[in-house]
Amino acid sequence: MSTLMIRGHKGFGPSVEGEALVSTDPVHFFTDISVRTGVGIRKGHSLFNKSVKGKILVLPTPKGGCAHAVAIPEMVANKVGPKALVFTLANPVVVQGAVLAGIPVVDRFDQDPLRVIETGDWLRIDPGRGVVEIVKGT
Amino acid sequence: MQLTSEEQRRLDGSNGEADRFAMEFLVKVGEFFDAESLVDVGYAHLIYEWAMILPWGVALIEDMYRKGARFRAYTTTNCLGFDPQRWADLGVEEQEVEHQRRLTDMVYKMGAIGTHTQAIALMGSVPRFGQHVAYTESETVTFANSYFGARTNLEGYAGAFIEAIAGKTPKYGLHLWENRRANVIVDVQAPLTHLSDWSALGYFVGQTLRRYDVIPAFVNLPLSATETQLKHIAAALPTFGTIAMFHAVGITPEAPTLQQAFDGRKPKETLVVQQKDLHGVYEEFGGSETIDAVWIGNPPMSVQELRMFAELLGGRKIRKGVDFLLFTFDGAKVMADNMGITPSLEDAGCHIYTSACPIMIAGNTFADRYDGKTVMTTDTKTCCYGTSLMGSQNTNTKIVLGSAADCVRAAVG
Repeated sequence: MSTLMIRGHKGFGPSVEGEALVSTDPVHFFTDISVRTGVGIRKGHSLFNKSVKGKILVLPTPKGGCAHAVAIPEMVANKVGPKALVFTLANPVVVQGAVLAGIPVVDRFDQDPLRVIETGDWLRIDPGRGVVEIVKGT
Repeated sequence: MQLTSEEQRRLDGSNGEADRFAMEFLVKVGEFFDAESLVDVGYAHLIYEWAMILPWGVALIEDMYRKGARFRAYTTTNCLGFDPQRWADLGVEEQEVEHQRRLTDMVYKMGAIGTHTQAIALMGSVPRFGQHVAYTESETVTFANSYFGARTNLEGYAGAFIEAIAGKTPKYGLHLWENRRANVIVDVQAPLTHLSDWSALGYFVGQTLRRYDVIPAFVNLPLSATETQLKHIAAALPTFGTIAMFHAVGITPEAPTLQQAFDGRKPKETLVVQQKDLHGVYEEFGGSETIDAVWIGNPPMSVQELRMFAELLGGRKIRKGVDFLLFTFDGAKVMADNMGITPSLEDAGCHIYTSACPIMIAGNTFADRYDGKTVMTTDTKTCCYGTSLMGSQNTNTKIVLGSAADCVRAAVG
């Protein structure tokens, strides 16, 4: 069991820890993930049939669109939302969504999180310091 | 972030809970993006379509309305999921119309005006060069930034709503010139013959470059480029990418020259767009010659486009069983009525709607009606989002891209 750390920009939200769910495909919260069930609904997408509930999502730059700002708090209100969001590069829409949902969001890391983090890794996120600690192989 | 003493008082609740909530939101989002301050916004643009904003978004509007929130910015509204005057035709349920009407009443009382379109500049809401605004909706944002040189980030539905109430936005992203400077050259070597070619161009560039911090500078676009043509780029460029601004050298106001567009930045790359690249887009959204419907409406049709279709039809009739649906906005429709364009299109068998766009309806009514069918459109945004929304409802609709002439040919055949 090894621990790595990647450093990003100061983010938003409280410190949390949880299991990573990595998507290699950019995500559209609404058309790729059901806001009712929190499960990926797009065939061929790397999150298809996977549940984001309670997971720390590790994602590339989000897909364009303005829905994330309501879709993310909707999912969290439905108790199927992710625990936190880790992006290579976030955008205003997803950050607004995370702020309104009250879940942590961090981006702009010194290394590409998609290369370092794997689904199933245990993550400890400290958005105040912009740090993500990765416990591999859990 | 540095707040003025008045902003700090509002954040402390001096102006009530709705305002306090709005200010707190701005500070949290602003700090994520290292905004040094807030800035006043003169205009705001909302999406408040009942189904799209989800129950959470509806609850937000109701909550803020009940708390007495009003829009400080001059606030316009984007298209709805149906034409409020002709909704029964579109098979929308009365209950949904009622839900939307409730929301419309609230936003009107909060001070918004019922433009119900992306084409707000054609409906009297014209941002100034350099003016800070708070817009949602990717085409409206991209057009405002690029064509007018106004300044807005691509706001989420809830973000624009809250900023319209606060009358402010955090000063980051595209509110700062340093982030608006071009960093990629797009050399247009492909001929742009049809209006749909402009949409294909925007889509190709958006899909190839796709990051929020990419600002393309198009070179070799014809100086005769019209508002309608540039709007097609603005609609297609952000599709599933997050690019929210472009320059067109010699055409858009922040790019009189290539050097001024870049203003010291070095181009990350030069993307050359050739005819084969645009053909590739048509192939990606290609399909059968047999169609069940035509949907035109992203961006909402200008009166020039309505006239173009009337001329292409030239007195011929749409084949029985083919739905030829044209989506425009109130201003263009009134002119089209007065100019005799509307009767000409309706005689041919077209249906003309305002205040709605095919995408808004695709997520709803059309999902059932066009399951298993093929639809042709002239814009890549409808191809993408329409397919995506209908796919997420487990319906199988093929949306193919064609020029206006292709659409007419396939529909009168």
